[in-house]
Amino acid sequence: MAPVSLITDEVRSWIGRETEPWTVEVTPRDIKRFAVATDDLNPLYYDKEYAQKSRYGGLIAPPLFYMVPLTDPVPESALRPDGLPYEGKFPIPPTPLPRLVDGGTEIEFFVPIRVGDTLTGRSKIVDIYQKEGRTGPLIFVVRETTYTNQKGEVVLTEKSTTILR
Amino acid sequence: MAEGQLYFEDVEVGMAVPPLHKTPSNTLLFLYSAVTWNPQRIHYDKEYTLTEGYKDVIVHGPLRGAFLSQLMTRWIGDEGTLKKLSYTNRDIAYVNEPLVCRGMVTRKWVADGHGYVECDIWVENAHGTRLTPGRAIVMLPRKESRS
Repeated sequence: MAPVSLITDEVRSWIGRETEPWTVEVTPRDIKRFAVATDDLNPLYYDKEYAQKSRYGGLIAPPLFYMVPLTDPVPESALRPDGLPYEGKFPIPPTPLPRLVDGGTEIEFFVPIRVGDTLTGRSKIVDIYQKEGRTGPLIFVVRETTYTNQKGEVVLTEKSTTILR
Repeated sequence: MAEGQLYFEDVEVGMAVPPLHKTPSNTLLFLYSAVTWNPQRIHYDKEYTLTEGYKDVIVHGPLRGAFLSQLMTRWIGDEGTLKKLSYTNRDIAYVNEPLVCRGMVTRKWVADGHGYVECDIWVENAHGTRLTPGRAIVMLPRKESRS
């Protein structure tokens, strides 16, 4: 028997759906906080003098710093019992599959994130497809996120996959 | 040439990236939740986390990603550039579990005068299980960059 497609027209219509763009100003304090919280104490991230003498000519951010502004502060009253927001920044199409699994992250870096940058993030769902797993159907939701800086340069692109099962 | 800087010519296929050891504590997980504004309870509330069937608080997947980025940036030094990073969190890691980030050079090539190196990378636990497999591409300075 051919597997039933869970990718209904409604689910398929989520392909191309964009999130409202967001902007963030990059401060030395936020960079240092991220470096400390990831135990990545490279002086390029917090030692201004050292960074000025480097080929970057100033402080830069760790590669995955861009993940900081991927979450919005959500009031406690809007959180589920597990602590996640009822409505996240990046909604997932409604399907009968209840569990979310990380399907991987791919990042391409173009120019470094620097102190003083104003970054703009844009994100959209670029693909939704189904595969048959050992335990039943799996739906893959692929999202692409792009950051640009105030000069209009593309800073990085991220492709992340969420697996529903 | 900067002292201790890694050059394209220093790298061979099959070479190991110097391992990076991490044992993420409750405190580090707390800091990471705070800095990424992540209120999910499985990262700080043990009593709650047990009700989800886990045996302790869980290390954030993207924190393991950050460890892998550090594995590479530490190796390639200030003159190297991380171009691509990918990883998948296949299995969970618990708080206070000793983790090792490792890498192995799989390919090296020159394009447009720049030296590129590709590595398989992963985070493994004390049993040697690869919890977070991934790949990285870096650009390294060349000792002879005239081309």
